[in-house]
Amino acid sequence: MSDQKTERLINLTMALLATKRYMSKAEIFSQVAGYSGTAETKERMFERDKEDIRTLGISIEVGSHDPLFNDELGYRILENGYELEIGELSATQISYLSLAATVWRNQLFSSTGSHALVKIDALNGTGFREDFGQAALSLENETPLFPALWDAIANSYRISFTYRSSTTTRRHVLPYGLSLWHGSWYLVGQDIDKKEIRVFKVSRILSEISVESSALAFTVPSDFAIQNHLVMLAPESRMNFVARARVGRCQSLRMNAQVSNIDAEWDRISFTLGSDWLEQILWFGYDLRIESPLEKVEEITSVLREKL
Amino acid sequence: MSESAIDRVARALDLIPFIRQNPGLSVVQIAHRFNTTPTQISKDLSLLHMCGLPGYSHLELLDIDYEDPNYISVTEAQVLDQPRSLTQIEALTLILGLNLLTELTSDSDEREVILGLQQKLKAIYGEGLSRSISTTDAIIESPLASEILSAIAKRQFLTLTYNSATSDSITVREVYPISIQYLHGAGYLKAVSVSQNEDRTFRLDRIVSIEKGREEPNYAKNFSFSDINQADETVEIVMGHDGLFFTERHSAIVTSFQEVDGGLRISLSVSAGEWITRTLISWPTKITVIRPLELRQRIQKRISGILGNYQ
Repeated sequence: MSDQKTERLINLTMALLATKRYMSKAEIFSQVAGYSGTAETKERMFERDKEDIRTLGISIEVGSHDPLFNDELGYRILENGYELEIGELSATQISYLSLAATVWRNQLFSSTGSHALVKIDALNGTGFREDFGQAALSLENETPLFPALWDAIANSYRISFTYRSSTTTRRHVLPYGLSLWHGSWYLVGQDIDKKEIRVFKVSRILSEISVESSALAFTVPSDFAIQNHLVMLAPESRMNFVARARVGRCQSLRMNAQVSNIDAEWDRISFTLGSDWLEQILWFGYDLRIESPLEKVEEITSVLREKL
Repeated sequence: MSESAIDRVARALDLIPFIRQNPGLSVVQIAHRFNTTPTQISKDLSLLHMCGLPGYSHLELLDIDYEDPNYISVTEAQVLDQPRSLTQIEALTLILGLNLLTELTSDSDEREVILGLQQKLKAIYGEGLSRSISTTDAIIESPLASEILSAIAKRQFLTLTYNSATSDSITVREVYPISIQYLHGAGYLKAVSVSQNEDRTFRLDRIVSIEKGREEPNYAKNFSFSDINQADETVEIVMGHDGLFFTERHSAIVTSFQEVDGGLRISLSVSAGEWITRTLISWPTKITVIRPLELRQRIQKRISGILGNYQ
């Protein structure tokens, strides 16, 4: 892209920021550097420039000075929408913000994080930060579909995608929200065919996200709160187990268990486990022998026979 | 360079307030912060030097001092003296990052500062954001994480009491902590084990306790970190359709998988030792090891052994 265009966009942004009153198109064409050619050319240039500036997230206000003659529209950019207004920040707060911006090790957030940090450092300067061990902390979480999903939520697009669960099907969804839980993203939305709110693990989406509508295709129900739909956040019920554990073994079970010694070889331990109890127990192999509940003993032995 | 004019404008608008607040940086340092090349920054600066407010005399132009590439400063920023507002996704990145930090800390004062910042950002960037994004339990909480992080910042040795899942044993060892990394929600400490003089990775939720030791800024300076575990070999397994969940859980070691009759055939790159043995035994459905043969035999023997326990 040409330097000319870049230069013109910067000049236009600066002029619209500086003006206290609305600048008319005629004023812009005569005063802002870079507009040349026929009236039609300038008009086309300006329309495109306005769009480009809006793409940057800068909002151009359109209005008129004279309420009676509002056919002559003018343009300006308000400082308070343009500037980062986060109020006074202490050195400690800035240090936390910088740490929050730099923990990400995925392509999307590491780049948005470093953009955010440049802006924060333009408030007070980098010298203001304390060393909180930046670069020592990172969160790896690759989310190639995040931008498309976030965009769909922000604009209320109806979307569809191919999803893998027990079978692989095309799902049509009104996207309501996203949840990051234990390092993975989940999409919460109204499944149009199933007529209810469903949770989708983003890593099980096999296709691109197709946008199926124009913006504002739906409104999220006013009583919607994402937390209410995240089944994984519900407290899990736990079961009591009594078992024999070999002396000196089954260390992680012992941490939260009651232990009494039986003989030189075995201790008796009682503990509780959640829904992953079977995996937890099998991890300890023949160093652990469950005594109760009996139906779990049945289940363990039948799974093991199956696995042989 | 395939950069659009818009990206360049965005950077230009951010360069001015940044340099104004951080005078004296070199072109190379600035390029690093803006994820671009020094040449590009030089081009940006000479372009910005031509920009300004209507009138465009020396009174209205931006005034940037960039003759010495080792000392860049802005003497007149015109209307660009303040940084631009954060975009919604930048704000979200910070909110999520702060969220991670609250889950790392057990200190109530620290928590309060962080929550205050989150509220501030949420207030600016909309209620909608908090209604549609949840980060509760974004990571598996580990109460020692913030203590370890502060030891890393102070370059302090740590004595770890560690509960190893693989060997099912508790050991005590001195380490020099390097970094904390979260992978699929679980936190890992990367550290140099002092007695072995080798780097090791410890799962945070298996660290039973820590004791802080002496500070030594340069201990790991010349340490060469090993690449991925060199003892890895190829393990091939066949399992049912729940194999998809297995590949999801263990994505770090899965090298390939394909559908076969009634399930999945999966190739793993992993050391064929104790960890994979326990992992395959504890998976709640049948898994057949195709190779190596020794692993298959070891697993069968163990399963028979466990069944023997119950007779």
